[in-house]
Amino acid sequence: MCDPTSITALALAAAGTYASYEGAQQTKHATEDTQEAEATRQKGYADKSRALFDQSLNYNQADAQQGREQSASDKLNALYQDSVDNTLGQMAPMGANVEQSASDTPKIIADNFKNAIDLGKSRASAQLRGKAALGGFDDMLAHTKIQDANIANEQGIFGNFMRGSANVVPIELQAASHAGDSAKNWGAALSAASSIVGGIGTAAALKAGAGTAAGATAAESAAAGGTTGAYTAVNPATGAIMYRPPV
Amino acid sequence: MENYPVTMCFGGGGDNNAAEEARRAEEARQGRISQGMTQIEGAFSGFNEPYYQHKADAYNAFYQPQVNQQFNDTKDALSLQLSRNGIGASSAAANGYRKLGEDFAKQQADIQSKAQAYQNSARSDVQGLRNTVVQQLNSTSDSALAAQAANNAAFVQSNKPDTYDPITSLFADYAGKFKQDQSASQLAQALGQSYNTPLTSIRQKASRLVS
Repeated sequence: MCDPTSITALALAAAGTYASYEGAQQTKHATEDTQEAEATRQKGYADKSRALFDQSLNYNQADAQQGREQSASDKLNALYQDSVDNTLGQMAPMGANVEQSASDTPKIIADNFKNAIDLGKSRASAQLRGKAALGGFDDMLAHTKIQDANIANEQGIFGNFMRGSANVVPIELQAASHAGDSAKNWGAALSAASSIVGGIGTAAALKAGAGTAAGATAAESAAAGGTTGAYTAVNPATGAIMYRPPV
Repeated sequence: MENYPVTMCFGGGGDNNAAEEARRAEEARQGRISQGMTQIEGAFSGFNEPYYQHKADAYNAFYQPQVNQQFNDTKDALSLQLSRNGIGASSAAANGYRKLGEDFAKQQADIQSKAQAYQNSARSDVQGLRNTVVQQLNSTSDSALAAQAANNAAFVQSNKPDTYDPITSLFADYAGKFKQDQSASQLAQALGQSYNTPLTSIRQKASRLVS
């Protein structure tokens, strides 16, 4: 059990096992790093897209929309009321002319002119207030559509970035899966060496007639190599070294 | 004996280079798109509030004088018709001028409203052009192509001539009310006013009573 061959075989087997473990860990960490890095990138894109969405939501809030609609209506109404004042104002002199040209014009006629113009102003003003309200809604809607289209466009850019970045990940994962190759290969080599040393020990023991005990010791050595995926095993009954492909 | 890296003996490294290259290519692609977006913004930066306000002003400048002209012509025709029938100073006249004034105000407001719609239509056109270019950039990731397309689109839009439909006869309704051999009562009724005694007749009657 404590002969140098067995000790060497066990040491090699342990080193092989460790190297294989280290290789697996490297693969695991590389995979995790790849996934983490991509998750960070995707979150960055998603955050920017979300910020745009929030901007859109705020823009489309009922209060904000009503404010813009009211502002546009007020602006139009100011224009329309100016028109009312100007146009019906141009009618007022017609009444004034009546008064000037006929000083004996009955007051009822002069008043009639004034009242007619005032009525016209009042009616046109009311109708155009309604028109301004409708125009304000149209204006708000037109601006909202443009704003939403702009935001959707920018979100499309981030969607493009997200897809493009995600498309690289399979290649990076493929690379990550090979990150521990070197250590794994060392592990396989050391395990193979352990099996060979164990096999040599077994053969030597059999040759020396050490019998079953030595064979068993060698078998243990070989078995130690076998735990790491080695490719040999020993038949304890015959002492023959058998090839077993790596798992 | 040379010291080779472990990877030289036991493989690895090739896939990693491919992954790094793929990531670099993706970052470069995203960089081109970002650059393209900046170039698109630059190409379309001229389409700002003053540009759109100019559109509305141009629309108003084309139509408002025509509305004013038609109004003045109609007002003169109304005055003439009222005077011809001796009811220049009457309730019918007051009613006629009021209606004409109201219609004039509405026509002016209508032009202002259409000017606003024209302005918003220009905004929508520019937005459509910009969208197309951004979509091209998204598809091709070619910032140079996007910049060229954006400049072309901006040039076409800024040099597109304004087209205005011909203005119709806005006060045609009034022309139909005026007839050559129309009586005062017919004119008053046409203006939506029951016939009142003309002021001239009142003055004549009054002077007779005084004398």
